[in-house]
Amino acid sequence: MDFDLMQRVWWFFAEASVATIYISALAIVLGLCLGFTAALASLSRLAVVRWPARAYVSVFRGTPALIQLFLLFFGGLQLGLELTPIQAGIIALGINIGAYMTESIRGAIVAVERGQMEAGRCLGLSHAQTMRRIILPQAARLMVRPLGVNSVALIKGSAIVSTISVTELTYTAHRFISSTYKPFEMFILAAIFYLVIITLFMRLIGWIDARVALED
Amino acid sequence: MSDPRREPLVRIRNLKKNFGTLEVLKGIDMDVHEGQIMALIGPSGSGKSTLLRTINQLEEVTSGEIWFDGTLVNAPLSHRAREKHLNALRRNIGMVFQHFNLFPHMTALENVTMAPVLLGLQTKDEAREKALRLLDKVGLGDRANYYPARLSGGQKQRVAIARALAMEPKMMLFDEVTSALDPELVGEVNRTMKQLAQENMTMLIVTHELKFAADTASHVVFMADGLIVEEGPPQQVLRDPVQARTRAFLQQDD
Ligand SMILES: Nc1ncnc2c1ncn2[C@@H]1O[C@H](COP(=O)(O)OP(=O)(O)OP(=O)(O)O)[C@@H](O)[C@H]1O
Ligand SMILES: [Mg+2]
Repeated sequence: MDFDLMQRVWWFFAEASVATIYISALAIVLGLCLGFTAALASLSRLAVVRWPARAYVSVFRGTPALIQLFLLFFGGLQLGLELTPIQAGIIALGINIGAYMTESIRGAIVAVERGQMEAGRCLGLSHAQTMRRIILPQAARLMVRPLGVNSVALIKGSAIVSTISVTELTYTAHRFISSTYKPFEMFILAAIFYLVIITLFMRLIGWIDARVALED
Repeated sequence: MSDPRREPLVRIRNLKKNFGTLEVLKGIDMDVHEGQIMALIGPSGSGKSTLLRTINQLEEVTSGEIWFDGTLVNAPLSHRAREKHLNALRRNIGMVFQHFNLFPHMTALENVTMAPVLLGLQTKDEAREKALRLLDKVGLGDRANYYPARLSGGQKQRVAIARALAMEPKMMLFDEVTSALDPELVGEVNRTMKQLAQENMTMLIVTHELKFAADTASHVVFMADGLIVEEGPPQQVLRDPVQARTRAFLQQDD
């Protein structure tokens, strides 16, 4: 292995990590917004509200993220929607992970004991008030881990935006391979940075999970 | 205490409830008068919980009428109007569950103050003061800042009673509130209920504790298979029942 080369170029990978983190962070925020909206919608009493949420989940979990990204970026260009690669990357990743997050959030909400809703309603609270004050705070604790798993998948999956030339970790590896012809070293470097990002991220999730855990 | 000439607080007429094809309530007529302590007894599956839960509409009824304090509880309304109507109704009917259903993410105090403050019935300070008084009354003044997970079953159930009382309900519903408790914790909850009874709270109590019913209730209703078989003062229904079905149930229970 060419450690000398790795030492010379690692800083470019560190910079590219910032792009990976930036894209992932924004995509996670977008995914959470979509996930919450769609999860609440999918639990609605009204079929017209439920149906689009269910369709969103099936479509975006049922097709490759890469195709979704190409549709948005290249298909978008064709239809006159001019997004920069970074914008297209964030939006496509966010919408895709939002579909998975919908299921995590929905699962956490329905896992809260049924008696909690009854207790809230018996006190004269509306459905919405009970949701906000009783159900969601308890569901929030149950959804930290699954949302963490979704987010880790997203960080790894963010590699696909290299295909539309966003200068993140995987793209940077490719770029250096074409000038150095050392794919092994370059991919190892990229893998190490992914591993560091994800390890730190899982720590963060563990910390949040401990913070919100029920006192008992 | 209860004046039979006055309009009953709860008036139930020909109430029927099906779950799918299963007939659970087959035509119930029942009055609960103000100040009355009514015990509802009967074999498992006879529909006691269902009857209780139709009064505050945790269960919708199939047919019949339920009146509470002069208003028709199960009035046919649009969804929105019905929700509003029920929210108002439920403020006046406290309910205590077998499994407590305390809010685990709130302290005992917060469990008690949450609804009155959120609904704008009491200011934060008023609610807090009132909640502390209620917790004191149920013997938990020193547990106000405990989370439910750190309370025993009996303590949880007493917090649940205080939580319901904080709404100043006109009536309280109890559904087997001691049957999930260890035997040594039953007494403390029963004492709290007796105290409420002495204060003339109107109470409808589903229970399988016949001794408690005999000591506390002013009226006992025996249900079987979705119908009221027999009702009357406790000494009559529990000691000297007229119906063979009641006698069989009481003998089996000894
Ligand atoms: N949500 C429901 N869906 C379908 N069937 C139900 C439902 N709730 C109750 N039942 C059925 O209705 C019948 C009466 O139930 P209910 O809980 O009212 O009886 P109970 O007298 O309270 O019994 P227990 O003493 O065991 O609590 C039972 O056969 C029960 O299985
Ligand atoms: Mg029952």
